Amino acid sequence: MTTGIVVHDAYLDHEQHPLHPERRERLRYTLDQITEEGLWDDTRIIRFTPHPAKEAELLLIHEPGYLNFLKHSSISGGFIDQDTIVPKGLWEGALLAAGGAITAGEVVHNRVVSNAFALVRPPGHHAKPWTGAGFCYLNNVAILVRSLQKMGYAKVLILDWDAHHGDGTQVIFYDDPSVLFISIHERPLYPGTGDITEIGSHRGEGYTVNIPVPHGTTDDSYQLIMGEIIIPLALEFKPDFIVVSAGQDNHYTDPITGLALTAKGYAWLMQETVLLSQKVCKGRLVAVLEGGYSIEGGLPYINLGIIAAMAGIDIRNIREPSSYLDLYKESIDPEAYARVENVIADLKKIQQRFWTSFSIK
Amino acid sequence: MLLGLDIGGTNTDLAVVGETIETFKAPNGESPEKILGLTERPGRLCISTSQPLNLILTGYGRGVEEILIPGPGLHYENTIPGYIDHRGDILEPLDNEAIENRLKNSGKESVSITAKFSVRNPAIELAAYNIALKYFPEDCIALSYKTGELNFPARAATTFLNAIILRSVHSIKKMISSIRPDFYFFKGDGGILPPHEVILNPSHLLNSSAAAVSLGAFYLTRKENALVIDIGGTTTDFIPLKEGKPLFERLAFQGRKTLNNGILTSSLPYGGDSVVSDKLEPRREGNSLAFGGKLPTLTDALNCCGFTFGDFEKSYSIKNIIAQNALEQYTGYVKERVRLYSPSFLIGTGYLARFLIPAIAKEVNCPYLVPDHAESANAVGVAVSRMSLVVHIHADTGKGRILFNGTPGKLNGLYRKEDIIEYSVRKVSEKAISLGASLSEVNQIEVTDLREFDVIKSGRREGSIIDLVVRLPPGISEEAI
Repeated sequence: MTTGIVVHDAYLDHEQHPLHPERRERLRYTLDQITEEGLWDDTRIIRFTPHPAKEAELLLIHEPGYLNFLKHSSISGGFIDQDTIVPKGLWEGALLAAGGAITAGEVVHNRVVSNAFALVRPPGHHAKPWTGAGFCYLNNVAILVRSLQKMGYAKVLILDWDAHHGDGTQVIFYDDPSVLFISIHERPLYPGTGDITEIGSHRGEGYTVNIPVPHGTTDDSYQLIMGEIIIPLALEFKPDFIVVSAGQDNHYTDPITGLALTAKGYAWLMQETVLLSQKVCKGRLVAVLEGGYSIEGGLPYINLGIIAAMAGIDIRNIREPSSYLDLYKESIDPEAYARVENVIADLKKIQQRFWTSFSIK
Repeated sequence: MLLGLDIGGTNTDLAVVGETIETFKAPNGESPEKILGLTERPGRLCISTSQPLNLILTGYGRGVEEILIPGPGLHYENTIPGYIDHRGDILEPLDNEAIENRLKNSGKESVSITAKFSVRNPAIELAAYNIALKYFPEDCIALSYKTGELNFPARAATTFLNAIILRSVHSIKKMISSIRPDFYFFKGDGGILPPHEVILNPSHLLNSSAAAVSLGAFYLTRKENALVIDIGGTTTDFIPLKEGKPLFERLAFQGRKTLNNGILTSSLPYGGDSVVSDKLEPRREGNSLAFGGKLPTLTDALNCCGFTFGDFEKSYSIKNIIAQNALEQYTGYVKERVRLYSPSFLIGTGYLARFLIPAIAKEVNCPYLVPDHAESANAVGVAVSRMSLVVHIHADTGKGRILFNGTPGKLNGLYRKEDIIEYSVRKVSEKAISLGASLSEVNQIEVTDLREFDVIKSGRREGSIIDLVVRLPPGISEEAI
């Protein structure tokens, strides 16, 4: 198995403000970790330089007016919301991030690698057709999905495991039965959407699946969700391609969220996703980086675990340094698992109209 | 005066480069003192030792106790607990007892110690070193942090190599220093360094033969784009030159990639000492008949075709037709290989180049030159080389740390990127001068791989991290230009 890593210096340079959580420092330690682990020498890892997305590719998702605004405000700086200002030069960086997601899709499509991880910044899953939001400008994953469909992959499953609900991606595909959008996210948390009752509309009903989880949710709940919801839905939907909106902010060291996933939990989650992709779509899988702000904490270990899992490298020693143990103990909520069980039960009731896997026999 | 000595597989070559060039060749059977006796002249002496070191490496590795301290991350077998993170903080202490138990019962000759992120803080490796000193002599312990580069597995492979050769390099250093204390080692990148600096990472000495030949070939011909064909005793080596420089590739040892670059070459297993039975064979069994050997060789075959190497009449035991066939076989192999490179020019080096290259060049329809002293071009390359240095620098102003090739230095309160770059270049320049570089050589120092970012803690800028590489690239000594 070989894994493509799409990375570019521009992904390291983007910054709204030096003190912003989504800042330049974010990927540096991850790249240190990848380099120190010798992954660039590993024959299972191939590094790719992205090409910028073309405007025609963006127009499949975003409105021309918004793209014009973004392009022009990139010249001298602009403002979308308090979390999302437009720094100078953003446009070129955003094109390269969206292009990175597309590049990852292309190298998998062309069978240069088995799967790929686009380590892009800025992230994208809060971006809507008409606006950016929540640190996001262009919806990288949505742009990728449309370009995959142009390559001939009619049905795409998006698994968004960022701690924040991928409201932008949800809106884009809300009516679309060709894209199954599944999101696991913390609730309550920004942006506030992502209730189990949000299921898609019109022909897209049942193709939006939201799994809100409470503060303090740990690895075992994610394993439960994988087995109870994601795997059965994927087997039934039979996608031609799986795209992961890989937010790394579920980790217990993340400063702006409250979940308690571990690096090993992430590696396991990705390992299961790889197996699932092999089962349903010949291993065709692209992960695109979204959030994740435990810059010096869990992030380097999470990204390493994800890459190792994608490339079929032994993940048994993926873990955080033992000095983080106290923080882990403070982050977990022993009652979260039972709450997640309830969410799963309620969700199945709502979705059983659309999915035979969930119908009561 | 510049003196260059290249200890090869069969011969030791010496070059003396001053107003004129003189070269000498001595068979390896001579005592080292006698060969070094040739160098009793004023001037700078550089020595290339890659052949003897390569011999030490052959079939070796069992004698090294390899200590890996990887902490969290990818999986390794048989490890020792302990962890330093990307910022150089000790997050898991070294398990002294575990390392003590491993080393106490080791029974190996040397030990290599590699801890993850040790180039950001050598503390864990140094703690392990202090334990290792109880069981191993100082010159049998290799530590990875001195290599200066991130890449744990490649650093471990490099340190493993260092553990194998460290003691030999120490003894070569001691032996030569007793006769000639002020010498330089010639390295695989084509640059030179004094022995006390080389000892920090002796793997740099490996594969220096190709570097010596390519530098010598360029110096003697000044042809910038060419294919060097070096005809040795055991092999014939092909080294492409582009803009006067060879190309480099990462070296591996026993299937493990190291941090070192070696010159891109290809080899044919045939040379002047290759045995001729009923045909040319890819093996060496000692010298040619003409030089006191027991079996006929390619050199003997040349004598049968009218040349007069050594005691040439002794070569006549080969039938003429076999000699001719062996020669044709050899030139056929070389021509085939040369065509793969589509060269615009050929440079022949090595003892037999003068006699074999013209015919080969004609047949592949390529201009060529076999320069004066082509027989000892390797030694000329060693003589005319200049100092090269690569220093990886990591500064973390928030932690008040700066490391030069993994070794902590003083940051002196500096925090601005520009100041840290200037300081780094100054430190490396001072070091180069203290090692013997001239001022004009130091002016060639360059900064590469610069990256910098701010570290934010609790909404405040704690400092910044600056990584850079300061290098003095290899080249030709100004004294030789």
